[in-house]
Amino acid sequence: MTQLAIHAMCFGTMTKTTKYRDKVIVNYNQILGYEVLEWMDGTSLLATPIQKKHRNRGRSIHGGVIASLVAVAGKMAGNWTSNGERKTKTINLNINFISGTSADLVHVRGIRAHATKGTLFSNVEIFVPDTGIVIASGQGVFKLLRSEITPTPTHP
Amino acid sequence: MRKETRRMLNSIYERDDIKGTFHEVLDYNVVEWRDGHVLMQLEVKPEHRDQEDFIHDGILSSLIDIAGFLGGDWSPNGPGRSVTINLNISFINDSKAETIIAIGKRTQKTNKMQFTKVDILEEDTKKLLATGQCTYKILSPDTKDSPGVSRQ
Repeated sequence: MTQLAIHAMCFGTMTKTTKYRDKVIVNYNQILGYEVLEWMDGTSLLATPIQKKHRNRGRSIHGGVIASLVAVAGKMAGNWTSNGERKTKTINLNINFISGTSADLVHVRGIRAHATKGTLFSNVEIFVPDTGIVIASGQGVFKLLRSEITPTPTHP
Repeated sequence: MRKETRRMLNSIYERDDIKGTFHEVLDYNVVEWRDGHVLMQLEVKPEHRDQEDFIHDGILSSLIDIAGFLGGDWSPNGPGRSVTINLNISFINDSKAETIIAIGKRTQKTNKMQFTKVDILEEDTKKLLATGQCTYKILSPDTKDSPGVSRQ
């Protein structure tokens, strides 16, 4: 799958207007600003450039950003289908924060531990790609919703 | 709420060192803050939502992280320094609400560690959205560097 197709799938429609303001708005995935390097059945790899808006008062990555990345990568480890993204809801997240970092780029690797018909369990690790130092590790439990995939129309 | 408390909270959360950081992205209000208790309010903006306009899991997690720390650690000089060790979050309901509140309560505190519980609710209907248990390591107040973070 090309990078462009992955992008279109992850971010959905890139821009939309609201009823409140007549200007282009962003959603939270764009605030996080991650890039999908790998998205397959059972594994995902995201690269996240860390900007100032992701840091806390001590210049380390904020715990909330790490939690968000665990949620996103854990979900993407199990929602790949040949027809696109399967809808999920998060049930539980458990995150261990192992070390702080001042790195400018982190990688997030999500691996599916087990999946049943309606539930997905995944393990996520956040690390600095240059040094391999692990910043955080987490486990996520997700509910896999029934996919509403519309069949592609066939031309007579 | 007393005027002094309000003035103190404003001075803490409109400081220069949080300009441009993740605290500004969240843009939360601290409504009540005393020893062992915190009440925070967040007005949900479009950039806090996912593609289907639900509040993003990451926003709830971030709010639990901050409310968990403030709920356990009060000091007259403003928030101290700490490192999150563990977060365990259960997402109970999803919501498209305009305003949500977070209530943090301390479970236990020792010299170096702190344990808190946080609930997140819709402000209007009081529907429970998420609960979290948080563990923090408390750094001494004169700490300048965060662990693992190099100096500039």
